[in-house]
Amino acid sequence: MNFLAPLYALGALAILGPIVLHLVRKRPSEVLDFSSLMFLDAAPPKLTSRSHIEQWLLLACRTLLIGLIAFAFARPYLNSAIQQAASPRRGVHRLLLIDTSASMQRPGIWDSVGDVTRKWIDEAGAGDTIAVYSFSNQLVSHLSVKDSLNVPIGSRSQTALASVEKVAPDWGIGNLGKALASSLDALQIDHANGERNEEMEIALVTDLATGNSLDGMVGIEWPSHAGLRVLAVKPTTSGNAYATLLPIGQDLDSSNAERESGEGQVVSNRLPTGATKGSWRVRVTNEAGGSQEAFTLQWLDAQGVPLEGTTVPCRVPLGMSTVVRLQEPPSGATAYELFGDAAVFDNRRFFVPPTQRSMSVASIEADTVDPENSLRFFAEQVPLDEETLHIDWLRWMPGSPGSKESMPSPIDATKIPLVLVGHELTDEQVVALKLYLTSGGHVLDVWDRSAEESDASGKKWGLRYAERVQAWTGFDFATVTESKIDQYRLLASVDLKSPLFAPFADPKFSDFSKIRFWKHRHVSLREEEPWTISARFDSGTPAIFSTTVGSGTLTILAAGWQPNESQLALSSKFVPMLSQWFALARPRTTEGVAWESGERLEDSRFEKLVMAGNSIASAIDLSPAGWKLNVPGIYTGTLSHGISQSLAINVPLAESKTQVIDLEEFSRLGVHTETAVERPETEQVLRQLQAKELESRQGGWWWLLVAALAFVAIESVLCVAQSVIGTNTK
Amino acid sequence: MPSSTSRAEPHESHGSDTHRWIDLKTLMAIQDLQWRAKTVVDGFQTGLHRSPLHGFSVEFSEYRPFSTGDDPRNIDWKLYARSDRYYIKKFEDETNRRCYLVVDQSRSMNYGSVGYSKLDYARTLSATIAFQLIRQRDAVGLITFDAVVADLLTARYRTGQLKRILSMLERPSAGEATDLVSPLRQVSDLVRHRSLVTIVSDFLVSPEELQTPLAFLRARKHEVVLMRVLDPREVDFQHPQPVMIRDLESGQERFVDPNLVRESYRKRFEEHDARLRAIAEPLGIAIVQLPTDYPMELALHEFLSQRERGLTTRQAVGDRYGTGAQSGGAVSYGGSKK
Repeated sequence: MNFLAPLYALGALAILGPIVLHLVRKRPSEVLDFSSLMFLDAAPPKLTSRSHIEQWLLLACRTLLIGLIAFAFARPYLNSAIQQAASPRRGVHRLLLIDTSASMQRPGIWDSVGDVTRKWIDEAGAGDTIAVYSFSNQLVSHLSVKDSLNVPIGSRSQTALASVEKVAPDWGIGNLGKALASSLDALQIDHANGERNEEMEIALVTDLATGNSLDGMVGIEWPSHAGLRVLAVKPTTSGNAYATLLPIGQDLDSSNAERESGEGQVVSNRLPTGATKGSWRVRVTNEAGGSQEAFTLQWLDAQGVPLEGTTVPCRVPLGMSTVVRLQEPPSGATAYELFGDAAVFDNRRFFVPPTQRSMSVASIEADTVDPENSLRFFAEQVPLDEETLHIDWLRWMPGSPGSKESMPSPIDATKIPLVLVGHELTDEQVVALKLYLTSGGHVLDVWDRSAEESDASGKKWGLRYAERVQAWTGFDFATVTESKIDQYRLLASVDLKSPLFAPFADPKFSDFSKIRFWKHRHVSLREEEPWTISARFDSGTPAIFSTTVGSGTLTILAAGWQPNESQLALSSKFVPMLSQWFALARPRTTEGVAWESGERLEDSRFEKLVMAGNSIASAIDLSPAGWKLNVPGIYTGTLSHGISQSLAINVPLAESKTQVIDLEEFSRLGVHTETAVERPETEQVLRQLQAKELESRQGGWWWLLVAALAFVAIESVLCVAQSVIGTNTK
Repeated sequence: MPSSTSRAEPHESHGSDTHRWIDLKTLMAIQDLQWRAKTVVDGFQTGLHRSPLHGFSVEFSEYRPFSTGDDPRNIDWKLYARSDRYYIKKFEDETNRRCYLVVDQSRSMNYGSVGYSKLDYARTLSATIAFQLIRQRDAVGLITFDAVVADLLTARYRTGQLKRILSMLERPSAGEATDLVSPLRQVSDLVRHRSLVTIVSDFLVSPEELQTPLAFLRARKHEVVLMRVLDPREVDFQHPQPVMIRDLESGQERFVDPNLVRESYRKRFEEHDARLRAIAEPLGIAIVQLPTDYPMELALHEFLSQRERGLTTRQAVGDRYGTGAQSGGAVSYGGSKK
């Protein structure tokens, strides 16, 4: 048997107390009056000999009581059990998580990172594993826990240090919450076959900028055996100022007076990279904690050289923001820079001046006596123009080759992305459109004439519809017939997930029950043919269906939208539908989208992408998920359809917010920030810890205290009994 | 404890037949001292018919015809009513018989372990004696004392004398220490006529100090009877456990273990008693030791016996007390349970 606190056993010496008290004759409390003391000798109280100890049972109870309490305080435990419980000590699993987001580019921070991580690694015990991860947009493993386990015990620290030296700050946005959750998963997954309750420690090296999002931690249950030690690093500068280009279209007159507090501003992450003439306004924000309030804004050319005569001074109080109007950017300007701020990492912001483009939409339809019954009468009124895109409508006539209104051949799909086809079409035009479709064009074929009616040659329109579709697609297409309608048909089974109806997915807009079709064509589509049916009539007949032809898309509307055919053209759904048809048809560009460094261009169709000016090797990553541009700057790319486009990549706006996160946030999310694992310095300390754990597991002191309480009870009973006996004796 | 053979009978009867006597606790419960005395005396006289003590208390001697010169107050008018003749009722030795009851009221007399104190017993005894004597037409006086004489009532036989005596006895005592020397000297100064001086006390003083005042009293031809009232515990010192004892007079405390000191206590007590007797007996002074549980009737009997003895053998005190001292017989220890 051993004792955790053997000095407490000295308390057992208190046993002497009751023994002495039992030896001493108690001075009687009762005083008896007597007539005279003349015959009495004095007999003062004295220590009697040992044989005169009275109340042996009571004395035994009292000495045992004191002895048990002293014994309990000494915290005894069985020595043999500690040998059984002793097992080779497992090391702590440590994970170094380094923030490499853009705000870590501030001066002085990265130097501190080296010192802090080195110190932390030096604290690690020999048996500890040290994993090294970094994060900005996503978690990057430099040395996983498994890899660290494979490293010989003596050289783990060196390996970790070597891994840390490879880590460098990038320009991405810091997603701290997600990184913490992922690193925790990494720790736990790596030990899925080991003990679940092994001690873990994550050391977070970060500047704790508020731009780091902790949202990824919400809902994550932080395990009790994992501790988080925050190794905060600070820049040598204080505060930060940044300038953001404001969205276009706001009232210019009110902008001069616009001034908001830094916390109150709401700025979209998605900012235009350019602005039209006369609307160049920049919001300058000066974060609290800095010392500079006077700044200047200036345009820069492609080489980063400030352009003379474009300097705009501004003064922004600490913790406030001000909107500053800039001159129109001179030609060759690709960026503007905020001068006067010590934290320069986010002072330069790139932009791409917008370029005006023009496209055309063609319609092939014969003139009608009543223009209201033509397709183009309604289609041409749909505003398809965009800010930097102008749309022209081309009117082609069926069967008029050589005239001004004749259809060119071949049709350039990049300039005319959509061709609207009425009921009448010559065979040549069908062939030309076949080529057009194959080259990537989009044809919207509207069957706006009854299938039962015949053309000039006496051929039914239904047959002609079938023939041209068969010519375009090569499917064995059945005859198109006219559907018999008593009153009207409605659209049913609208596929809101299809690209055409995606804008109507909101229940507020998904009501198609007010569009009545007086007439429509009936067609039976074979299942083996790759038709995509976006909508059906309530009779079940396909109403809008499409298929791909080469690189292009053929979409068929089995009814006209004119008033004599249906209410579609007059409904509120018509404009969005036609706009969507055009949007789906036209080549996609990323123009007008503000990109942030480290962001992946999942949607883009760039075939080639290069960084303008000084090319940085690590600036561009290409993966199956898309392009990823890591460094702020101007990039030039070529879209799949040959269009050249420039991209401006900027430092994420959130990274400019460099106020420090309150550590209470971690506690609020349930993260144990104060459970940094203490390292036992020596084996003796380790043994002591094991003894402590063993003693607390055995809990012998508890039983000793229970026994002591039992003796208290016995002693009380004995005292009461003797008191009663004494009273009766008197 | 030795006991007089002539006094053995009442002592034995007290020990074996206690129901014949008035229960002292009940007696002490009676508030009125006169009632106590009357109860004892009536019970005593009732018991005379059955007891061998017959005749001791009868002081009546004879009737004689009235002759000129006699005090007409002595004419027995009841007899005159019956016989139509004047008779003078004669009592034996009634004319010059005086008795002074000298009662100790010091603090030591306040001790009592039997439910009442020695002082209660002494007062009741004094009242009983006074009642009996006045009933016998004797002159009775009372002197109470502690360190000095507190009250003095000259011995007389007159109406209201008993009441005065009783009221004096009932008066609460402010006594402090016991000092018998000074009061006895004062008594010898104050009482000029030959009297029976009955000192009721515990005599817990140095016996040698008493020799001179007692000799003074005897020199004045007084008969002296020492009625020593003691609590049974004072005699046997039977305490069950160690106890802190406080002297009633000095307030001094002393822790004693009775088991350890009992023998020495008894030895000293007996020595003290022997010394007291050694002083009293050569002077012809009788000592009656009365434990407070001793029946009051027997105590009265002891007194009357001593008085009778004093009347009849006044000249032979030396022989009587001398032999008594040797056998311990003159001193009655009636009622001592030891």
